[in-house]
Amino acid sequence: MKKDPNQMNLVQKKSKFQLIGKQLYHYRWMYLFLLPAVIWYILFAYLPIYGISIAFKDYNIVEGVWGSAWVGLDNFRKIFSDANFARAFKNTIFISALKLIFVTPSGLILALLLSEVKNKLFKGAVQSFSMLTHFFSWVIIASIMTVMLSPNTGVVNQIIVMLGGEPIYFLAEEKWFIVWVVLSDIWESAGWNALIFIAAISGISPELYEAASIDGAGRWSKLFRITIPCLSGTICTVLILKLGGLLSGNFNQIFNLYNSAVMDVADILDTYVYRLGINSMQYSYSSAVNLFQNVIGLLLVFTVNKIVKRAGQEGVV
Amino acid sequence: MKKTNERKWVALLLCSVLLVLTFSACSKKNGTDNSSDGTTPSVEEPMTIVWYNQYPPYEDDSWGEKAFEELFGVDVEIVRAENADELSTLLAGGQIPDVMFLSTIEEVGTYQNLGILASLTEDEIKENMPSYYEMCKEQDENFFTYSMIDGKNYGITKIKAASGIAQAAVIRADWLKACGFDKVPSTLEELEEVFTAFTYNDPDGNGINDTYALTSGSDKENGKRYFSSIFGAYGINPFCWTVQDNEAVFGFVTEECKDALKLLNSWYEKGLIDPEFVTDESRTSGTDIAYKFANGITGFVDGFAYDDYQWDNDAHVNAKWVASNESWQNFFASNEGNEEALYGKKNVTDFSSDMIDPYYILIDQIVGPAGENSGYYAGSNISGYVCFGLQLEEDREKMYKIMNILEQQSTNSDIVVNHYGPEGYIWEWNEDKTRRQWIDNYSEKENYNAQGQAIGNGQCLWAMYNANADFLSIIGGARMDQRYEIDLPTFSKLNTVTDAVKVSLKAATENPDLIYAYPLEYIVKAIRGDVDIDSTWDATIEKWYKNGGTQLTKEANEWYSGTQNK
Repeated sequence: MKKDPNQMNLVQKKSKFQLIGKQLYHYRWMYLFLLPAVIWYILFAYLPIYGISIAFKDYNIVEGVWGSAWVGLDNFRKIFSDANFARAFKNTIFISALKLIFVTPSGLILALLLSEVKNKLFKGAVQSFSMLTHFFSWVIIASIMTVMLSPNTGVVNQIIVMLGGEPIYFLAEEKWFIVWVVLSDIWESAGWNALIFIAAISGISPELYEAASIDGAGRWSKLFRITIPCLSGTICTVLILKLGGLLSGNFNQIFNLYNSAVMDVADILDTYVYRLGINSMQYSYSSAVNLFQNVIGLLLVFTVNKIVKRAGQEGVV
Repeated sequence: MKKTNERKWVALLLCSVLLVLTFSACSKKNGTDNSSDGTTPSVEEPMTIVWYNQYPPYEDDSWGEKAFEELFGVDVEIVRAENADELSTLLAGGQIPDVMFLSTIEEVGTYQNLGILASLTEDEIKENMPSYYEMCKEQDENFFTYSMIDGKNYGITKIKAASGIAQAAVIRADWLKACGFDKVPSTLEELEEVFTAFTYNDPDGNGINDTYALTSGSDKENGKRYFSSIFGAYGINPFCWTVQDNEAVFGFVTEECKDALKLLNSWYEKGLIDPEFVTDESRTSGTDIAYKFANGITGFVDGFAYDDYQWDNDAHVNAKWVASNESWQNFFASNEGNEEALYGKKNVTDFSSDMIDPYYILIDQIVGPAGENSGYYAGSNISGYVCFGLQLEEDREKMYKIMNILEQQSTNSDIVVNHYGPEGYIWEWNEDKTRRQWIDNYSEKENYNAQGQAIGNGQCLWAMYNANADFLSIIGGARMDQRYEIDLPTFSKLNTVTDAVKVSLKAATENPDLIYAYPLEYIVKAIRGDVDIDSTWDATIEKWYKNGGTQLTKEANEWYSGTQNK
């Protein structure tokens, strides 16, 4: 007896549908728990997407998003002819790249160091304290830094003077400013960044280490031959996500630290958009800058994802 | 089996609570909207006014809000925005208040550009605020033209009584004495000599080289006060328009500005200026420039108003001064209860045996290359702008009602006094009920808030409190006499440098960095010596003109020549 191919397809389709239904029913409580998060995303992440259109409009509050006149790519033309945009663009990439090189590995290194600590109490304390800084507001961190780095009264400069050096005004010298942007970011986020790596390390099977020990492997070779290879998937994921944010620096950090003396290196796209969007209410223009940031970010995620997949690792998309 | 069922129900319950919470937040607003639409319109329903001003009361239905509603027979809805930044976020969402009290002309320009302001005519102001109109016209014939943009008026300029007063500089008398000066410096040369001694001759006598002569706050709030006494000696302010050869020129691009920068740079190189000026703040409750001055880190400070220097242990500079000097704490403690003695010290312009050591001296003029035109920066006679939301373009009745409220707030003393709260809050009547007076130590009261946010007094709802000179000392007594009878006249005599252009310029609205951030960036770098002034000046000015300065200057002159032809 020959089966009608169409009919077979129908049966398959039906069973597929049934399967989803069955799964939905089976995990109904799980889905219910998921629901608030889904609603949140719809309300606050997906619905507002329609607002992107103001990047192509001359947004007028009275007319609203729909009523404002279309201006095509005018806002984007304005962006690329603005000298301050070019400066902010350059600074953003430079600061983000530095952070990618120094800040992201700092989390990994901290996680690796912690994984070697045997005393659980000490390990827990270090982990908690290093993570605590992540919950400080940048307003507070910036005030602490301004006091600590003060050329007259700051503790850092007092040490420098005690050792016979000249005080340095860290926050007003362009090159030092960048150094402190990176250092303070490490201080703030290393503990938090380490979290994901710590979780991944604890997932590595202890049998691997035991076997290696029997074969006579030392700490270093275990690190380079077991831990890091096992973490490569996680490292790639983190890398992809960080690259997606290449064009959005840490607004809170820069905004609270920058000053007129270092604008040439410190003014990033986010602070630039803030000054235009919030201070001078050029909503359309700042939306256009923001859209530009996001499109580049998305492109970067896809590109890096592809490269990572080519290299034989799992990507995120 | 029973247990798992229970768990399921608990989970379901939790989820529904979450959902209800999520939606209740969203639906609340709709609910109030419906009720205000009112399906059963009652005749006596009071008019609702959506009101924006800085420093809103922390809570709804405060004492101030109730008093306001009762006095004027309206329902007032206060917008929860602390400042213009927060307001602009609300505006982006399409919520336009009925009335907005804006502080700068740039804000008026920006809002007009967004098309959210209703226009009004000078005649309407005259008709609905007759006394206020008369009062302002008497002082400044053009007063109601300053909020005009493209030939239309977009607000009511708010007058400030006792305005246009120099924001002068003061210097530490104890340091002058310690360094052997018996004359208060009055020229830039003398100042430099004094400043050098302040920096290197250990004026505080602690044996450590830890003092500077001066600093300034590089924050946005400081704005036009930035090193303003030094720029003022050259007759200009880098962030203000000045008139040269009968044409308006932006201060930053003048030769005078360049010369002043060279001087400041040389002072910086000599170590007279505190290098921290780049991150110093002009006015905070913590370590600001007044704190540095009061605590002997610097010996000179400028850019504060007469009531900031007042010897009353409450003014911004003075409170910090007293807090760091025991002799003055003793003075205020020992005279408690004796108002005349407590507020008996005035701002002196020379050494005085009448003062208690240490004290500061007001420098009455710093003469520079501008000669007798040297002066201190002074704000204008405008304390802000009352603007109306576009919806009032059609709703004239509401606009006139608001005007009427403001008229009463600027002419009726019983209403003005609400700015200071109810009787017994910070003021009370004297024994024979002839004069209102301050209550002792009112600022230590638990529900006291300097901006009136605790109970709804203060400037948010009672916005016109400083418009009428008659009511400046409505809460009388020795402290007000000290301020308005003694200090104000002393400061009013000083020479000033003011902004020659008082209106909003379109080019500045479109490119606000042009009149502040861009000049400031160069000024900071020039003072620090990060750039060589001589070799970069021409290119900087050319760039300023190219990036919009040409258009800006053209607009400024269109307005300026218009005022000259009148």
